Amino acid sequence: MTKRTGTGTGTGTREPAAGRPVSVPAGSGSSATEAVPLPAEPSGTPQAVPPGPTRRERGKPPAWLLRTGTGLLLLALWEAAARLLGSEFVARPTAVAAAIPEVLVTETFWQDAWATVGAVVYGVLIGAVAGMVLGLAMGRIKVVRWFFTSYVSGLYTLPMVAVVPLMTIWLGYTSETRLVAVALSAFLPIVVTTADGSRAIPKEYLDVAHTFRARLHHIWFGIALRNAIPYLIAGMQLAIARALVTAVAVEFLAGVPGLGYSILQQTRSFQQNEAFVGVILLTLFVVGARALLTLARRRFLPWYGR
Amino acid sequence: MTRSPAGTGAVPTARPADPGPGGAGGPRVVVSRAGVRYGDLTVFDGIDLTIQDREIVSIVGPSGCGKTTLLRSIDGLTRLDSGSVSIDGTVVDGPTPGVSMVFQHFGLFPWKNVYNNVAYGLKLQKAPKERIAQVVPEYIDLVGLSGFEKAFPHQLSGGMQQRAGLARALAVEPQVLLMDEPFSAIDAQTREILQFELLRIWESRPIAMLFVTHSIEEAVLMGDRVVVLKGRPSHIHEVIDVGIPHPRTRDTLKSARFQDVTAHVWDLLMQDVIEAEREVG
Repeated sequence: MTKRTGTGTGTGTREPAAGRPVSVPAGSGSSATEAVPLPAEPSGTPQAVPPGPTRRERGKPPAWLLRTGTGLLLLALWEAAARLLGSEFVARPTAVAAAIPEVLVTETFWQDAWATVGAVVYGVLIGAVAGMVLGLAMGRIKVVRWFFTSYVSGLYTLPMVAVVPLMTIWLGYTSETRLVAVALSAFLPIVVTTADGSRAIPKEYLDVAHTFRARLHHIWFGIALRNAIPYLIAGMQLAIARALVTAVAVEFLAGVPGLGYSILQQTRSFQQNEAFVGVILLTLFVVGARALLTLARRRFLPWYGR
Repeated sequence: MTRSPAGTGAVPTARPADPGPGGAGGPRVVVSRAGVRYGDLTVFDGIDLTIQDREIVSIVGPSGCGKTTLLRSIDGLTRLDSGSVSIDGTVVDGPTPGVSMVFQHFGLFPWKNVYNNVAYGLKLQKAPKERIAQVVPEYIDLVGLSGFEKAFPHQLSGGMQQRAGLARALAVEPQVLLMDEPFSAIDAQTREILQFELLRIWESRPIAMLFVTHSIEEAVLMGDRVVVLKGRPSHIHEVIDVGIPHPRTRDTLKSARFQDVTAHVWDLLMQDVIEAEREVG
């Protein structure tokens, strides 16, 4: 569908390339014949105008189709490779698809799924609240920033997986270990982003607040925290991905029951297709959570760039 | 009208007989021997300036001359290194009640709609809810933003954002209004509209106003007096009595007096530019 109307000579698009007639490739849609000649620009002057905005009008397939198509193609390649080269113990897309309904009706699958996803949800919430408190303090109080910065950035780069065996010594092979590890791995990106966001307040906001004789709590909670929200959302997106990695790693390493653990068990007992259903669910969870956050940002922070 | 100021000679002071709006209400702001340093660099020094009630004082000067810093020190946002500012006889030591500021880049909170941005000062003052509900719409209306109460800053043009910024500053009913290049981020046509609207608003409720700008025409149009800052460190080079009575209209721009004063200020400022270029060349 082109958006070009009969009267429009280049309206709605940014400066189309001078002298270049808008020729729509055949089979691109209803208005393909409506090739509107552009206003008389000196033709032949090759002006480097990015063709970006007109791309859609030239009838390329929509983005979702390309994306889905790419995904399907990859699945087809996988299927073919598995059939031709792999042993029977290599999971295949068709076999995984066939396993989905069976797996979805088992009660243990949902128990495991909730154990892992629940730990991630609670862990991220705990980590986010604690991270916001420390992040805000680090953003606004010099001494706190000075004291914590190196520790936070050090821990931030440390893979949480490396500490999991140590945690099992303190907390045992329990779901508490998983919750603590998840909360900790969510905590750090939230601290970093909240600290940045509450520190990087446009000076004019502070001038306005001071002119009206704002008190400290007005600046902290009315401005710093508000200003940090887009940063916080970015931090949450990082946190969720990290938290899930940690949750699954704890299950692997400490044998805590959950989706990660059952994936491991199923793989070891040649139920590779069933195991893959768990992988898909985890992927969907992360993708869904991130999409929700993006949605929240667009809905509640419309002034913040897309 | 008046004699044309020859060269850099002082403009004859021609005060309107009627005191009305345009000064003569007693001193509101007294700046005395004020100086600000940044490290080794002295921005300005020895500034003496009095702003009367019901008077608009414009400050012009080359960029970097410390106009904004001077304004900020009157607002209590920047500490003076020497001298003092007092407002209604009280020495300024931080932001003072009764002083409002309009900012160059509007300073609206993007997460608040127009209504809540305008109400911000009143809310910080813990004004009673009924008062906020009564006053805020009044000022939104005064600046011509009725119907945009629920709009967010990013949905408004620069001109409309600054209208909101002005309404926010006025809503606390200040005795002193500080304007920091309020229209410099706004396109020329809108800027002219806003200049005259600001004059109308001020004429309807004249208060002491300090107007910092880098536009000579704007300084002369808005000001009852124009303060020219220059030099390094900068100091008050000259204070010019504009002597054009209120209300000022678009015709003011065409008046001989306006042209004369503008030309005079222009000469004062261009001297520096020419000298600076000579030094470089």
